[in-house]
Amino acid sequence: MCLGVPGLVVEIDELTATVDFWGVRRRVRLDLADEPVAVGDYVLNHVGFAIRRIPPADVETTLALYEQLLKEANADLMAADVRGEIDAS
Amino acid sequence: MTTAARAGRRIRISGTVQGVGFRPWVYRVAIDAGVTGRVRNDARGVTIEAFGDDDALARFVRALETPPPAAAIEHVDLAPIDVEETDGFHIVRSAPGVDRLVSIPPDLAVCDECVAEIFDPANRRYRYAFTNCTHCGPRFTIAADIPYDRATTTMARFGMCPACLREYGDVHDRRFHAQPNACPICGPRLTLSAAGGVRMPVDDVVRAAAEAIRDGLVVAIKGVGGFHLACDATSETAVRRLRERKRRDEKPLAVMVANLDAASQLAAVDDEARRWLTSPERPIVLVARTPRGPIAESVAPRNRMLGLMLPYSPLHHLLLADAGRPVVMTSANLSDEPIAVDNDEALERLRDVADLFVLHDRDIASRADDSVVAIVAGRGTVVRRSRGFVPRGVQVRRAFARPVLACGALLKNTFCLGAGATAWLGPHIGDLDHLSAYDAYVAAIARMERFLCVRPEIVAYDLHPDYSSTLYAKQRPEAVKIAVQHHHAHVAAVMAEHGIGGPAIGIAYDGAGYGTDGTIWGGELMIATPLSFRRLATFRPLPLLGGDIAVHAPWRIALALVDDAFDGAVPDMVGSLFGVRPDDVDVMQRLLHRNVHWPLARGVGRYFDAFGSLFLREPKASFEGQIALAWNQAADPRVTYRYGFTLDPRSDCIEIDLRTAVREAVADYTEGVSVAAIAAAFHNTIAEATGAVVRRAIADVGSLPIVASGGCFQNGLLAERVASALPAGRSLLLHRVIPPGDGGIALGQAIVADAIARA
Amino acid sequence: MPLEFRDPARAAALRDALARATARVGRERVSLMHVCGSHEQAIAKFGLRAAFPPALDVIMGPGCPVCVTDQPEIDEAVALAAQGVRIATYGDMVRVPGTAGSLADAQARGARIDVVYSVAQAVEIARATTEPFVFFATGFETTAVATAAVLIGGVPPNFSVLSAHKYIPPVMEIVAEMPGTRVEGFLAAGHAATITGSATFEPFVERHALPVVVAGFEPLDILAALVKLVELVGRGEAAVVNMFPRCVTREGNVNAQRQLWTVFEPIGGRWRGIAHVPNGNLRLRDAWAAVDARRRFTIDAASLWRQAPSSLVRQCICGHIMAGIASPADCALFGAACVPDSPVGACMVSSEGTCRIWHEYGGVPDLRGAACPS
Repeated sequence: MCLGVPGLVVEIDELTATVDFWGVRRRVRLDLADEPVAVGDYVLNHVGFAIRRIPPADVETTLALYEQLLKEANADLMAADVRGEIDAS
Repeated sequence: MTTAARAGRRIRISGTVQGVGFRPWVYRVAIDAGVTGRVRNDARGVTIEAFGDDDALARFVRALETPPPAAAIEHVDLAPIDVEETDGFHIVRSAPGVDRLVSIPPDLAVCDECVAEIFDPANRRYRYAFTNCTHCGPRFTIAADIPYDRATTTMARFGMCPACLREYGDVHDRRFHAQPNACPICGPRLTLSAAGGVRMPVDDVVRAAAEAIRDGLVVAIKGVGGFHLACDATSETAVRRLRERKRRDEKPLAVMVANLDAASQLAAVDDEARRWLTSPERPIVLVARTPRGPIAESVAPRNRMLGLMLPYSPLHHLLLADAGRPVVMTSANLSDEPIAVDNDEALERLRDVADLFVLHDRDIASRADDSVVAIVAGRGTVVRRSRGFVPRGVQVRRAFARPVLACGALLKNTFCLGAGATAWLGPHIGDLDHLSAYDAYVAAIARMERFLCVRPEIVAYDLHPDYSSTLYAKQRPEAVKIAVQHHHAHVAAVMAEHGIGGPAIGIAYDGAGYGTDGTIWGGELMIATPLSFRRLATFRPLPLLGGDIAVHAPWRIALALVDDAFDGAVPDMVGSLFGVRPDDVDVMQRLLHRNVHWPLARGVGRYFDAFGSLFLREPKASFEGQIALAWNQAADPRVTYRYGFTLDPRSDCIEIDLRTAVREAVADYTEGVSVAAIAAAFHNTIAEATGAVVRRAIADVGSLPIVASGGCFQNGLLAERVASALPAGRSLLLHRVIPPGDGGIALGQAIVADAIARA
Repeated sequence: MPLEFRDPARAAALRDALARATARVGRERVSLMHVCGSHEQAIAKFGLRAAFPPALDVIMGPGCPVCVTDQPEIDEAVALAAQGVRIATYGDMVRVPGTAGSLADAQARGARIDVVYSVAQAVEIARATTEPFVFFATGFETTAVATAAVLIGGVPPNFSVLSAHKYIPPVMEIVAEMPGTRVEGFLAAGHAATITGSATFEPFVERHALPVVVAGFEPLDILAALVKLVELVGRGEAAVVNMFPRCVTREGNVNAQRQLWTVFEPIGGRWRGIAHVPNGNLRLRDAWAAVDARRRFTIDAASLWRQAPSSLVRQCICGHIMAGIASPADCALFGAACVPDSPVGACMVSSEGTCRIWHEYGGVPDLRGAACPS
């Protein structure tokens, strides 16, 4: 639960966004975002809330990191946490 | 080894000692002095129990003599107590008390340390408009009840975040028990609205407001004691726009500048002015403006003086820094209504006045206009006592036998509550003629009674039967009601300020006040005690043609003046001075000589109006006292000669007759003597006449203190000249922290009523 | 078993730098503490402890939100469930044993328990029913902000919150002040600091003169942060250093903080194993009493306490592990009576619990003697 997971904002309906996590789409609340969020932005998501708009310059590195994690074996705790975050909706 | 004998002291301190960082200061002083013990807030102020050897205790007590700037010690009680073996010095929980006679501190202008924080990008309070600490910030205006505690202020609904909580609980922190403590995370916030209430989302409200001001717009700004209207003080267009919309007569508008340097560029700022400009009360200070400065003429039309104010809250500091120029900062109201305090109220009432509204969510529980200080006879005199002073009380020489509520007069009303050895003046209310002012008046009295836990048993009021304050007094439930003559009250007020309990020679000069004989007095000299007065002298009366209209059309008084002086045969050239059509002059003259009983006015203020209207050729006054003010400012202080006058004995007192002076002044004018000289000679004449009466009185009754009060003594030149006209070695005692005008009269009413009730 | 680093060359360089920095400190033992489950996962998974010099001891403090939730708090939720209230909570919480069983046990006895991954999801479920609905809110401030946001946004009338949220900075103070503590520096969780900002540690650093380094969760980031932290310890420099600027700023997410402190206030409370932490728990402010389950219901947890704890529960040392003064290796039940499928203590339940993590990454790891990855 320490972890936030990055995803791509594909749709916004007032305070709720539809966010794409490597193909999985989930609804994410925007109440806690630190900046205004627009479609096409990447956000860091934790327990169903966007806690940060990822600055465009950092998006690539961030995604690469997580992708590596997800390649791990299913039983891995860290990967499980990340997947757990993605499942939050 | 011998140890120095330890002793104990209980020290009780009363006054403004809560909410001003007092206990942490006592703690530090105790540690430095080497005493142990404890300090706590209680019902009457602060109680300290200190233990140590004699040297340490002496050091401690001596150090207590210089408290933090925001504190005001009224009384210190020292008593020896048994020694206790205590460890260290502690701030102890406040004792709950039934007797809650503790003052809520007045609002304090933001301190230098907080100002540094709001301009420091690395500080978490960078650009935070509600920054404050134990030494500064709102107090009275946010207090909803007593005792003064966060839960009883309008900050109650803001729960502190951990960072603020930590500061609040740390005795070494500058924000220890700072009740309004806040930060951008957990505290009040600014919002920006357009007229009509439409919210405008901007990143930085202050920056946006400053931009709007630079663009010439009128911005309503919610401050500490109420809303202000602000605009660019250097733009004639902007200022005219504000005046028009505010339906403001020609009364000068106050101007806020960023700092002392900026002030010095606009006016002559001497040491006394500087002291007041930077005081915790942070009033508007009236200073002589630099001619041909950048301030728009409409700010203070035909006025030599400028009302300057330095920023008194973080919001204003930030605004002035962003605006980069002087800003008009006048109270947000329509003509003479009370200052607006609620967001919704402001949006509604100022809908057609302001283009933009800077609002916030820290409610204002008590309104408080800015205070005003004039430099009279070299010393600052509070001519309007409000934000920064209220609800601080003044000590009276003789404690009130029973609690008194004094209702004040009509214009510039304040009321006064007296109990024990303290008299508390309420905040400036304004002119009670307006219903909204009257409502504010009633509410303010109720609030002060609650805050001070004073239940009056005596009600004092002005002799005038028609004042709203008189009507209010009459319908109060108290059994004992005492009417006090207007000028007696003025004299009693200045006597109280100087702690004079016995007889004094009192001078009370103003525009008008109801006399015991049913006529209008205003140029009064008397031998006064708190209980009674004997009238020594008054001025020859002038008929007020048309009654009260004459106050706003002073040419009518001028006509009466010259008609009286020339016995009806007014020289032709004078007729042309009136600035009205000769036909109108004729009509008025005929009315004068008909057998009509016009009200007779003896006020020195009316003489100022008359002379000023005549020789300055100003037939109309847009506000009460405008011409008198102009006449005062017209005088050349280097002129020392004076005109003639006579002192005519009448049945009950002397009558000062200035008819000779009128004739001599007209002769001067005809010969081309400057108006500046005539005005000065006029002042000198009044002064000399006053001096002559005083000398006679002294010859009669012996040496007594000489005191002066009444609105005319806001005139520095008059005060100086009267003081010089006194016998050698005698000084003239004037007001300092109590307004000389009707804003201070309630204090006198309370003193007199107390004396009468005892007798 | 230890995994490959993405950048083996950098890993090796950092490992060496860490060794040098530790040597420069010149003491037999340098103890550092981190308070984040994800940090522990990364450390264990990549066998980082094997890369540490022998003198360096990096222990996990009370950073697992599930694990620090104390038994009485679990009991409150279980009691409410027994009283017929429908409970929703985060996944791991249902299996944490209280004094007399877990929420999962209560579910087996007929109680209505919903597992959610987001408090917003719990609100949606509550909206679709009329029965009394309580969200058992666990987690640190990073998670508490979500609870605050839904309350501010408005919840249906049957919804209330049983707050067991905790606040990390105060527990760092406790650890720093513990008699006999040897912790000389802290690693702070990167994503938590995204919300609170690195400035939140500044008063702690000032008061205790202990350095704090904010670290990302990537193993190389953790190594780099440790190097920085040991350097600070060596120089005796107390400072807050943000080594995760990608996600963490000094003031953090002000919008989220505001919402958090509008709804919650810090109050002293119990953490498993640490008894009382002043200001360590988050309670709903009086203004939010209407949605506070503790004020809406009379919770009868006393009946649970009358049941004697099992002998297993009495042998559990989760508390000490939480406080960082024991490791799973010191526990008699670890890997035997206490395994992920039948956990005795909270540390084995949560994916962020020290015991669970150690169990996952291989028996009783003593990686200090293992060969370093190259």
